[in-house]
Amino acid sequence: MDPLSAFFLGVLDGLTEGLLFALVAIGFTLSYGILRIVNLTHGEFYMIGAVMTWVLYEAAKNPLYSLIIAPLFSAFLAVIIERTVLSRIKYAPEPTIIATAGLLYIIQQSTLMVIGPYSRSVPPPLSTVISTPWFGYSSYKIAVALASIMIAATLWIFLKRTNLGLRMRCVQQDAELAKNFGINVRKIYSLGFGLSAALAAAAGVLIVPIRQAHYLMGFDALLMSLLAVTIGGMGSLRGTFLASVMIGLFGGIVAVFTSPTTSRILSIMLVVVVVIFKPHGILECVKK
Amino acid sequence: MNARRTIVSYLIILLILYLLQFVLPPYPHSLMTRIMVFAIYASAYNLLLGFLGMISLGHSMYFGAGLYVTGLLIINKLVDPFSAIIIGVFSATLLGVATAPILLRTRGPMFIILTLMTSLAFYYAVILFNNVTGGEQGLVLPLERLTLPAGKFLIDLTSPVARYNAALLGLVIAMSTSLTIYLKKYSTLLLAIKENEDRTELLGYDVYRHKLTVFLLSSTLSGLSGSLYSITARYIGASLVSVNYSIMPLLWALLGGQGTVLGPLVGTAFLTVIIDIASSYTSSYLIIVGISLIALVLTAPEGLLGRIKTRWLRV
Amino acid sequence: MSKEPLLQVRDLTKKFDGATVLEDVDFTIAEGEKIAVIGPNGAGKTTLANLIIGRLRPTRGRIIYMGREITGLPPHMRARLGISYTLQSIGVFRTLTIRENVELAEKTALGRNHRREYVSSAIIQVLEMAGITSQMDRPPSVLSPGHQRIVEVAMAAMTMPSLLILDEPTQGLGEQDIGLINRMIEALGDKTSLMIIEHNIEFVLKIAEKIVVLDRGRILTEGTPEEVVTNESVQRVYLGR
Repeated sequence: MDPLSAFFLGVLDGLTEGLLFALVAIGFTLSYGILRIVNLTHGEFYMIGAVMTWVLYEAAKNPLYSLIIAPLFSAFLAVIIERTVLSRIKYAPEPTIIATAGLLYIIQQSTLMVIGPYSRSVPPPLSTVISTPWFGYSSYKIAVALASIMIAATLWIFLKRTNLGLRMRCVQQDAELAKNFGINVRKIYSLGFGLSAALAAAAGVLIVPIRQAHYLMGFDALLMSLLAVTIGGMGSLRGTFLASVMIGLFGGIVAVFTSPTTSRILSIMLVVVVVIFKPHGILECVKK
Repeated sequence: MNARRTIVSYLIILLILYLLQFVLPPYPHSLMTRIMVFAIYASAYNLLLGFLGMISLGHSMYFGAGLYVTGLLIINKLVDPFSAIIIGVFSATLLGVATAPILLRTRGPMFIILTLMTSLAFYYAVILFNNVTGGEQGLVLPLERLTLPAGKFLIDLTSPVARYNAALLGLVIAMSTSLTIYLKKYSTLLLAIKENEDRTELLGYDVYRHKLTVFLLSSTLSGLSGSLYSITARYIGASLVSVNYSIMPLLWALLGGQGTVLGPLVGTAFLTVIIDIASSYTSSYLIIVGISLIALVLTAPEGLLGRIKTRWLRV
Repeated sequence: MSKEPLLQVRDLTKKFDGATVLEDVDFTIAEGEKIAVIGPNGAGKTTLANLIIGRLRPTRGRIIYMGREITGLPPHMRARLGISYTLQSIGVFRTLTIRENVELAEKTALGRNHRREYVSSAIIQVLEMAGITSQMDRPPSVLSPGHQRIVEVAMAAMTMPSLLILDEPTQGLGEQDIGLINRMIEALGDKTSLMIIEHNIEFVLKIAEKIVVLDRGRILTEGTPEEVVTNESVQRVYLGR
């Protein structure tokens, strides 16, 4: 393939990956915005989404249900975690990081015990190829990119236009004040955390046909989320989304010329450089 | 604070460790060596955690610098083992110097995230250059490079005796560092910084310089641990610089309780033994790490934050 | 005084995101002079102190201390040059013992001042009067808030400052403790300049030689206590609130 086509392919792949990880990253930033916590377990919800998809596929040969079941399951799990562990430690920053690190290991190793260390694959539901003059591109990947945008847009509308979304935004702005206005902050915390997990799981469901499900895949998603929020601004949905797409694009282009590993390293270094100059994120907004 | 009592108890512990090697059967003997090497790492980590209250999730980078530089120098027959250790440790210091300006400008969650990211970059770099480093599979240090003549004698660094005492020596260096900081009352200033950086600065102290000092001590000693690990285990591999090895020292330090000098050793010994036992039953033994972290967080009396933020005791 | 003033503040302005907290503030403190900065809440008094001590950077203006420009210096360097500051909130270190707190402050004064022995013992004497010296090896939490505040002022005094800035030191304190704070200030001698931010006008009148009145970020007036107290605009500003 000539370099120009390879470049375009890299751009498309990068965009797709960036959009998909943007879902995970928005979930991460949502739990930071509402609960003010750094949730290291976040990547594991993504992994759960992927693994459940494979399990359901093996069981029922129809992975489409997993788009509903996996996020619900993850949300449920997240709410349990939030009620039993996070609220006990009162969402204090450092204990939460340690606790979520612990949960990361528990979930990861439990998955290992159940499905073993192998990668598990699922065939894509759409196997047509869209031809362009330069190359053929998987229609499933395009569908995934569109699905990510749709899910993100739905979330945006939910937060901006619905009553529940309004209450979430209030808690994000000022939890104390929200309490005085009669908002059940505890419930919003649980819902917010559940929603963030559901987003990550949805991304995991979508990605399995492209990459495989593996018990360690959560790390990558966590890294992508961290990179995105560091540049995009913690708690800023717009910034995180944009940053994730940018990082994905950057990584995709770099990977064409080098390798996935190199692109990871360069993405990290890019973020570190940005942090040096703009410690509060590119959009300079901490509130959404 | 009774300085004499502290020093005496410290010396007694060292004596016990020294004498242990003569009574332990072979497997516990080499396990003890491993524990001591890791305890160096835990001590190093504790300098930042216990004295300054900083949680780093990126220390595997400095451990890895010592590990890989020393290991690769020996494997590639470039220098003798002793020089390899010194160069390895020094490279960990250099890495600390290089990363400090970026990392020390941040606090709290951002510091944790940045340390995690930079150590992940190190891990990926090791994977990337796997034709040199051996990647995930790793490389074994050849036996013949680890024996050296010294005058009339032959020092065999692969013998259990040499390995045990090398680890013990490293541990003495690490624990002495913590002890000196405590005895010289430098710990008072560090605890003040831990509690309230602004207020300490207003008293006239250059807080950044002191954080840098402790940070460099911490990275250097982590490198020492890595160097000694490569020699005592005769193995270097990417798994040793993964995120797990950034989280382990945190767990070792926390499990060991609030003791300044002994804490890391106790925590390391405890967890290493448990993991050793567990790994013979299941390959998912890391789940113990997870459970321990959760248990710590939920059961600490003043809450885990209280445990980190309050006073660390002398022994 | 024919000598140069110890501290000069020129055109000092501070804006936060468009809101102007301080504007064109101009005054001087001479060596050994004791001034008070008063004004209603939100007038910018603490911001002024933060600018002088270096916790904030000015939007415009200069700060000159002992003849040199310190506008760009970080807080710890200014502290080393002899500016000490106690915050509004009580700033003793809870995880250290009282003795360790005081020693920590004392250490930074090393080599600074030959009066050190004399001043140190005078400060310790005040602590003795308060009954604090019997509890030196215990954490500050065993003391009442008033006594904690006294320890904090003692710490600031221990650094042998040339300019001591106290931010509302008597807030919440009873008669006796206020008297002890007074003694602490006296222990420093008359070569030490003092800038005290206060709402307690009684205390201010006892201590200050000059009063600067701030209102909404600007200097309303300055002068001797008698001048300021009888000033009409000052009365309006205080009574009108």
